Amino acid sequence: MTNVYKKILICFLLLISYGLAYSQVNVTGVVKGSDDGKPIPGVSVIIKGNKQGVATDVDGKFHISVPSDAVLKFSFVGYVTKEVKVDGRTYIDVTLAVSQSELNDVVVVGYHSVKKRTTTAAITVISGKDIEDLPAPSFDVALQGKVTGVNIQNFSGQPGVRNTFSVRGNSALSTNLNEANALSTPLFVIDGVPTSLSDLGNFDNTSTDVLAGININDIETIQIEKDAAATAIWGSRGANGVVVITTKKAKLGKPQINFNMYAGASFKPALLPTATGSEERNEKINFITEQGGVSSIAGLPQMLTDSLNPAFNNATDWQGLLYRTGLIHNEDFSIAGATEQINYRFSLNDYDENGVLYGTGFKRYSFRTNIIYQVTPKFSTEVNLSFSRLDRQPGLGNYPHSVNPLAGNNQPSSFYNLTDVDVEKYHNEDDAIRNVDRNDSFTAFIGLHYQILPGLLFKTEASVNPSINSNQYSSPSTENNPPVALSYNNSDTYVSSNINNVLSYTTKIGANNNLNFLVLQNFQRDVDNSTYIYGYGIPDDHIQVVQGTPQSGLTATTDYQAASLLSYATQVHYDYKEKYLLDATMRADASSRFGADHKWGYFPSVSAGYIISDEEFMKSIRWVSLLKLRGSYGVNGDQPDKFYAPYNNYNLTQGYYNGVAIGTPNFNSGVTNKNLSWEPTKQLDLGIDASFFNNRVDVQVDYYNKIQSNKYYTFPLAFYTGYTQQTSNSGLSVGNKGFEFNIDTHNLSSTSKLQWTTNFNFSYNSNKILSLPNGNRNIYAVYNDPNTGLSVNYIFEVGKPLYIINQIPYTGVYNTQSQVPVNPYTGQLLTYFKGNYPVKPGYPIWTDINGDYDVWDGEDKGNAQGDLVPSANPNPAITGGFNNNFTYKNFSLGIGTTFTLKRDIINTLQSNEFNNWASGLNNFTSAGIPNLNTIGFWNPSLAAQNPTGYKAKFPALNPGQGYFYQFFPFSTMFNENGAYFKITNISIGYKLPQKIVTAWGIASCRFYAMLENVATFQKATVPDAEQVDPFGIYDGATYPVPKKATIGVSVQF
Amino acid sequence: MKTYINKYYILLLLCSLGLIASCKKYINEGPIDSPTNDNFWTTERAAESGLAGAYGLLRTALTNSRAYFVFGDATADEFIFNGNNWTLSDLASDYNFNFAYEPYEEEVNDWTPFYQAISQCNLILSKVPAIPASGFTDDPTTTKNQILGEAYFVRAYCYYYISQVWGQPVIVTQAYTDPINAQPIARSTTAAGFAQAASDLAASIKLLPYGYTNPADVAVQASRGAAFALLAKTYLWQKQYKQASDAADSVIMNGGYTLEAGAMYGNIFKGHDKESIFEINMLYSPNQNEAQNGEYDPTTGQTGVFAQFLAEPFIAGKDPQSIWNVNLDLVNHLFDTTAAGKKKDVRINATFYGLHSDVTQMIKYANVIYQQPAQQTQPFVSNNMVLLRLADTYLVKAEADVNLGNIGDAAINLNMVRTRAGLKPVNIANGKTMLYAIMDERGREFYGEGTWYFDLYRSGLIFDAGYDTAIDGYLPARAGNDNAGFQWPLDLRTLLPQDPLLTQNPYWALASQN
Repeated sequence: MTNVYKKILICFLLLISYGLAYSQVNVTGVVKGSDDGKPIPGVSVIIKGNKQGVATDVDGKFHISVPSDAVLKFSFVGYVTKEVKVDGRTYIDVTLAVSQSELNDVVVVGYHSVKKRTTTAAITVISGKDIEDLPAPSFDVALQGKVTGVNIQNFSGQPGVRNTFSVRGNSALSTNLNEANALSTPLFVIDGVPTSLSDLGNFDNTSTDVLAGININDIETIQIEKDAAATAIWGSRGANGVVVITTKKAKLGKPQINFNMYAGASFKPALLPTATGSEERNEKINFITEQGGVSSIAGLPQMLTDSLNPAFNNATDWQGLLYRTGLIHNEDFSIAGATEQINYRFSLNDYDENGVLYGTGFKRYSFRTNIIYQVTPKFSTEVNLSFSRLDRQPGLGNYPHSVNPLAGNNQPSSFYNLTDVDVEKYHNEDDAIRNVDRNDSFTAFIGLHYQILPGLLFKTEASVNPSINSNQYSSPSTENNPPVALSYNNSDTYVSSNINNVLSYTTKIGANNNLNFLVLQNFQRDVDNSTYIYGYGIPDDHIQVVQGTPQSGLTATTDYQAASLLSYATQVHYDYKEKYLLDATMRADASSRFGADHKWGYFPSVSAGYIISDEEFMKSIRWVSLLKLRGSYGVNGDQPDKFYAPYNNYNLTQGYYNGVAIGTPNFNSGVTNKNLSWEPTKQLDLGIDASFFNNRVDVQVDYYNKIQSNKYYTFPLAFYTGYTQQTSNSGLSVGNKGFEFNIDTHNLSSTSKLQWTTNFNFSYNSNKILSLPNGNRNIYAVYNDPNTGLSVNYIFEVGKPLYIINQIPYTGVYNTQSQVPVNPYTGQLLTYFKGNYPVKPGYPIWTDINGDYDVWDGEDKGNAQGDLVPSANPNPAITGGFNNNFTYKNFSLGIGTTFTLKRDIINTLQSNEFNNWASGLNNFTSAGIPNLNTIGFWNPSLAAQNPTGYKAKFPALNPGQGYFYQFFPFSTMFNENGAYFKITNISIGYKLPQKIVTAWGIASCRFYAMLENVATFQKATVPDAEQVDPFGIYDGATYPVPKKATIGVSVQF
Repeated sequence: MKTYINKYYILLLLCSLGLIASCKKYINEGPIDSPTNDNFWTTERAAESGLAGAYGLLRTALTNSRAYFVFGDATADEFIFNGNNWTLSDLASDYNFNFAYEPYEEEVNDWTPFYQAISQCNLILSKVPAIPASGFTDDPTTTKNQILGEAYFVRAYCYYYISQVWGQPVIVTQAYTDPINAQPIARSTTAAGFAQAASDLAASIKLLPYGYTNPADVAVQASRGAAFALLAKTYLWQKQYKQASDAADSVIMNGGYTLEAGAMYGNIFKGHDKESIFEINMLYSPNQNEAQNGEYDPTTGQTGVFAQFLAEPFIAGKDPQSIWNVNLDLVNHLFDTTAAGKKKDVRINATFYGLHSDVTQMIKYANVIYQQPAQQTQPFVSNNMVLLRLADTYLVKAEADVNLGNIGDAAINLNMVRTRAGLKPVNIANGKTMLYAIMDERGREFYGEGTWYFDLYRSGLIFDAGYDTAIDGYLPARAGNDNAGFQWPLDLRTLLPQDPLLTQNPYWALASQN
């Protein structure tokens, strides 16, 4: 490092001496912008061919000594670069035109950068500007509703927790259903360092979103690369899309010092209406009478009848007990500067968010520095260093469904007395328990670039990225039953190292043929070391680590796992006059995770583009600025999640027999699988990029068809082999096809004082299972509601999407006995549950699918489906957003929205509640209730009045009798429409006028305010239709997504 | 400066080339956190670990879902299920011992755990002979023979047990290397299952010595005595009574076992007893614990297999509603519980607690150890599960002798057991009556030891109208090898998809149509 600083110093000295030696003509002038005619500070003014330069001051003035025949180059971000001949003048005024189009922007495809205009890949670029200052720990939340083809769903609002992020549909299928493996995630490439969330997830102790380690305000651009043209170069890791994140670099010009801070609050969520006190008592008694008749009052529990008992005559609102309004604050500080020779940027960040649930919160401290140094005209180095620390307070548990102790149906009746001591305990419980989730991440990147010949560049890049995650937990004896203190410390150190050698050649053949050719070699090695230490029986409650534990209470394990990937790849780009475009890539990956006989995988892609608007015959159509057709086809893949998937390891940690450690093969992973290989994904993409009316309207349309085949599947094995299952490539294939549409418009003329830009995007994805293992036999899976364990059935069937819910159809409630079907052969009434419950009025109408005059949720012999039918699809078909930004003079206003359409969800919160109330009078009495009259339970007297017309929403709920699990989610009773439209954020900004900031001696100053999660419009009765897990379940136990409001100021010096 | 850079550049290039060479090694890197198929079977220690694995898997198979006691005792009406044990209530005589509906007790209809133990034995038998002599610290031949002999014994026990519980086993003696492509195998006959057990035991007898050199191994590892004892029982099933009687003789004459004193009856189940021939080690040890939890374990959702019988005062704070209640009708029928003092059967107090209360507990396995003795929390039940013991061999020999017509010899062996229990010797001349007496004696001696149901069913007395202990509910229609109604149904939904040749036991195939 000191070396780098020395070089910086030398370089400055050199610049000064050059200036002294060659002073000839002194030129001064002012640079203004064409948009508002005001001077622009910080514009880089360079002598062409000489690389010397200065920057304009706060008044847009510059002063430079040049040869009298020099050409000056004026450049500034957001403006078109302009060249002016000096011609002996000493005073030059320059007006820079605003650059309207992003088409000259550069995108990174694999290992080379191309003009966005000439790329043949489907890439969406999000500028850091679009998401800056959003009060969120991680940028993925901020992308919601902004990118076509990307589905981001926040099923938990807990600060710093990872939510879902899938690109172009889901392809993950597992019969062992859990939220972590529910959806496929893309590969993230952060400043050239590939990061796999699923690999990191294998060794996670904290459940913290590692992407939250990136300060949102450090991000220059985020590219979401979707088709094979862009992702095949990532080979065996690119199947689920690639997200390339580039952090900010300095712009040429004088050093910029930036200070930015915002602060605000996450608001206590609105509580659900709950009946308390006498209202609850009256409601419950009336309800029981209404459902069961007057006679049912006889057996009421004391809690309900004894309204004078001080233990039972309270009106406690349990919901309110745990929530609070949390504070958020964030500070960013950065210094950036660049000359022709050195480009540096340092930034510091502190982010602190308190959760709306007591005991939860998230803190980030981060540091990042990027330095590029041109050592000689041919040789340059790039050094990026970053560090982040994430401290997450998980509250009561790391598991998203255990954070809220009174979630779902666990809310007790308001009758219970709640003393101040109890309240203290609820709030202080978290203080007594020490539960620290910490993620420390370092990245060191060094790149050496050597220009061997003009056009021939050699790059060596190396990076190392250690990340440490640890969960330190201790709970004193007072919190445990039996009262014994315990502590544990689980920690993982995951080090990912990466080396690239890239040789690229760019040339022009003749005047019109552009060729770019690149070969690369890459090696990546991921090593994880873990330590788990658990101590039971800590001798004193003040010891919050593992010390002093008796030998019998101590367990410790360490582990080491490593995976390596060796790759060779080539990329070729050819274009003719930048009009006919052709790209091809080929990558070969050898992975340590593949079986011995299938070490290598090969991933080719080809893509082509045609810029029609450059044709002569289109030139006359002036309103078309750009019309590009492009298409791509290619193959990429997925690696196994497990590092040692092809090996059958022996398990020696299963305990002892007669004092000898038990050693058996791991019967759950089968035997050594030499044939294990990658999952190939073939993807076709056809797209149109177009700009109209002088780039005021930008349209991007894509159609894609993506087929993932030979997928991993865990086969159950024949019992007599001893082995129970084995994961292998199988006949399973999944298709995702869809359509993406994105339009950006500048709605008003560029000369207008009011500027209004609009972005509208939507994606339609259709997910389909194309083939299944074992001759396309259906696969059944059960997912247990994370809060209560109630099971929901899923079916995987060829031709249907993944995760289709399998249920008994529910169509209403029987009002009279005569409506109940009778078996014409036996004269018996329709029954439920294997003949145990002859159907009566007030019972749900469940369709007897198999026609045996009995309905139950289990399978019947010879017919796995029984009375179940595929009933609901939790995969959202359409997602998108509608975003508007306005600027007027110094004011700005932005409104971001997102929507999800065509999605089925299950309200298991309601299912759990009803089930609890129905399962006996005591449960009904001791549970908290909303207003029972508004729910729509079947009412016997209403049914008697109007037997044909009365349509109750839910069956009779009689806590005293007739409980046969009817409120379990095995029927469609609790299915709801999961569509929603959400105003995700509103931001307003005000830039202080130049006069004032100049007077203050600063470059600029902007004030802003943000509102997050402003409003949701939905049909579902659940509190928030977005807060649904990937299986379509709303259990009411996850962390609410709070509304946030912040105000901030950003100052540039 | 330029040459300086070039030097660096060349150095860098060389480094990166060097790296490529080492990459190859990394690409083929295997795990270091556990052995794999390729490197495990190379040492004596590994072979012993593997053998411990075979015993451990057998232990798991017998204790999962309390299978050993469900199969051997619950089916013989020894216990009454209510409260938390409603999942087993269909096993009661009121429900005609319906084996087909045991919700949440999947293991009783799934023999996979036994096949895992068999698979482990097959691995040992195929891998251990190839371990080089250099891998042994003890004498290679003796150690190999010991390990192989014990593996044969465990495999024999599995086939024996499968044959008596489900019947018609799928017989596998090879170690699978490519299970995903395993060919479907049909079930063999029950007779073939017992024959497999007998042949494995013959191999075991050849390889194993009588007795033990290490006291810690007594009874918890197989010996020649154990192999003969199991062989005697196998011959009984095969109705080869002469061989059964001879095999039992070998145990009695050469095994070195002696009956525990009547006053010390409870010691039999505390581990390594002189009477015990083969038992599953489940003793508590603070550091290498093999004992099961003494209370309901919320993480597994199960109660430890012995704790299932126990409540207060044996396990502090345990709810009496949670246990298997002893069937007092049967106890009163088998035992003279009103007898007092010296005339009383010593087994009554050693087996039951609270006979005159609402909650009668079976207390053969009641050696409770608290990990936190001061607070009486974290209980473990430190008893061994005795599968074969000398009293059993005496009665096996008696049963064989009755069938051979040697009523007098049968009486001698029966009276060995009776005398120890403090009962008067019997003198019976009629063969049938003698068999009834032996079965009653077995009922008293092995109450709660997972065996009486099989004795009743093997001897046919379970539906013998003349035997007044015959348990209500077992209809003769369930009898017969063709019908297999005394054997358990298989969970075909789980097992059939991977073995399309698998068939259901005929009685249950019909019954489940209902």
